[in-house]
Amino acid sequence: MLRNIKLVYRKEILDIIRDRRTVISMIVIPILIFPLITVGLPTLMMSMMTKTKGELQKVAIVNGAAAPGLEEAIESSGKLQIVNTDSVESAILDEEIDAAIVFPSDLQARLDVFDTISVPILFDETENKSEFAMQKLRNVVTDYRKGIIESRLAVRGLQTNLAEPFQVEIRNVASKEKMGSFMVSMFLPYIILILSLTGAMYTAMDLTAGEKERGTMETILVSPIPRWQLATGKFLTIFTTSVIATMLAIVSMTATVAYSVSSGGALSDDIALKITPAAVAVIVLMMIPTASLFSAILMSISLAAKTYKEAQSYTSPFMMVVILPSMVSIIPGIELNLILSVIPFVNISLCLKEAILGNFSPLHIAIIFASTAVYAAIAIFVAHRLFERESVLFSN
Amino acid sequence: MIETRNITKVFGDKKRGQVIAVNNVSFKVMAGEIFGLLGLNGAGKTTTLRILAALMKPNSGQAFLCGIDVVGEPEKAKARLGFLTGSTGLYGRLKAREMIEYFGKLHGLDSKEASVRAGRLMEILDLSEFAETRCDKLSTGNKQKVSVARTMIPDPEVLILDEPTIGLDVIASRTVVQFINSEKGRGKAIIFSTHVMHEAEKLCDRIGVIHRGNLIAIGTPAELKERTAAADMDDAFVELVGHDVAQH
Repeated sequence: MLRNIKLVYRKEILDIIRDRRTVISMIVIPILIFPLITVGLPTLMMSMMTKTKGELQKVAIVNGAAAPGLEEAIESSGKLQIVNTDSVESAILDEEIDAAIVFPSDLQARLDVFDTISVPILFDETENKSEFAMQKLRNVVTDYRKGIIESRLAVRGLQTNLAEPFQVEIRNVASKEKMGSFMVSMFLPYIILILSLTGAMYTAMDLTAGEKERGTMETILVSPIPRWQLATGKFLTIFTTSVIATMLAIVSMTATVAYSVSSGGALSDDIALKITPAAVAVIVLMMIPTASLFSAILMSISLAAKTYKEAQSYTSPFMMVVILPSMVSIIPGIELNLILSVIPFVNISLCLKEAILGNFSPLHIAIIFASTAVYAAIAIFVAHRLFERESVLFSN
Repeated sequence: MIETRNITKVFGDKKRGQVIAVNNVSFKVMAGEIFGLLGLNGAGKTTTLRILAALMKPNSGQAFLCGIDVVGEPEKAKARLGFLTGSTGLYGRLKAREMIEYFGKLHGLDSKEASVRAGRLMEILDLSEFAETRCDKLSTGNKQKVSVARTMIPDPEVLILDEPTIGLDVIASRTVVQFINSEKGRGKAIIFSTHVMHEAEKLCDRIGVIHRGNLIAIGTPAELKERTAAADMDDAFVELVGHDVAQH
């Protein structure tokens, strides 16, 4: 019995590692995705932001003559260029200018009577460049406004700080590591679940629908080994690719963290990565029933398909069934409770999130492990039953 | 050696309701005999062979290989069986040698024995130079030779061949035909399905004509021609099937 299962398993492993699609989904993507997302993507985004911020932006001033000295202040800020235009709003939308500031024509007269004047800054929030221009304009105008207050106080022989009794300062007391864990806890559970799924997906389709399509299913079923042993060998192969994909992702994640610690410990000034061995242990523990569940479900779904292509169209909806609940880790404010602990995929996603944040509830961990194991057992049973059905095996 | 007793197989079809694919079919094939199953596409040939190969269970009736009930003891029955189809059924990413040895091991051979037998079969079939070539890189002819080697590695007593020459070129078909003849000489019981009449006439000791699930005639090629007063098997077949169609 074991000999047959081992025989099938070894052949299937040999077969799939010679398939480029499996190697990419099982090895290449899991290794690359974590460093890309945690280091590559933020670095790219930061450099894009810095570049845009450093660029010269075009702004328009309406009734600029009414605010003496402002144009000079804007130009001497070095990062803004003044452009004359008639209709500022459409010029912003047409991207001729990035932002505009509108002064009333009777500015000076109203300043003289201490009227409080509204000065709108126009910009387009959907454009990064426009937003930067707005911020720069705001800074210049704020300084200009401060200048007016100071000269008013000076005229009356009063000190400057009379108008500024205190300054508000906001400080984040979370450590860099805590910030890092918070960021990672949102998207890491989701990534791990998806990798476990995609790691199993191609193998599952290849070993079932792919085998029907190539006409080898009939040949293998005629061999004198019981069908359940064949199904078990196949299931274990799918499970292996899912586990390898997940484990490689965890190794790659740990290596990225270790690298970021050794290279100064920070991804940026505010965030550092830190994942404890306990968190890794919980992730590994949870991925065993999860990978079993994915493998058995994907095997059952693809077994119902006649061709590889058909299997792809059957498994895509299932991906959505996994993706949506897995994204629960991204929603703030949802915490594990007894009910959520038994909802498939939601429970795993939240459990991994808590583990990364350093919160371990043995009760929740036990319930989640047990419930996922039960679901996996049911799915394995279904997959084996399907393997006995003629209408499924010979649907062509 | 091969026997079916009143086997019937019914499929549920969404459009047509219940379809009787095989209806009360009985025949026997002796050791050293080649029995041809002739019929149009969808006549019930493949289903009959799949029941014999324990791939499908009949709704009623029994099937035996070497006296073993294929429904009751499928694994034991399949251990005596070699099964070959025209769609070669090879794992493309396995090498020819790996493919043949794998099926030897599935039949219970140890690694050493599987390797020795695979080597010998590849020599006989002129495949030795392709032993380390992946199956998907082989020509159609060599693919079918690997299939033949895969079928023969356990040295089965019974051979079931489902349209073994379909889609093959002349050279590849020839390999299969030579193989069938040499296995007959070794005392195997062979059943094969085809719709190529002259192939059946040339190879078969006896022929069964299956039409719409019913075995409508059985006999030697000469008997069937005589019964229908036909000059060749083509005419005999059309006469038999046409007769049945007229009755429906």
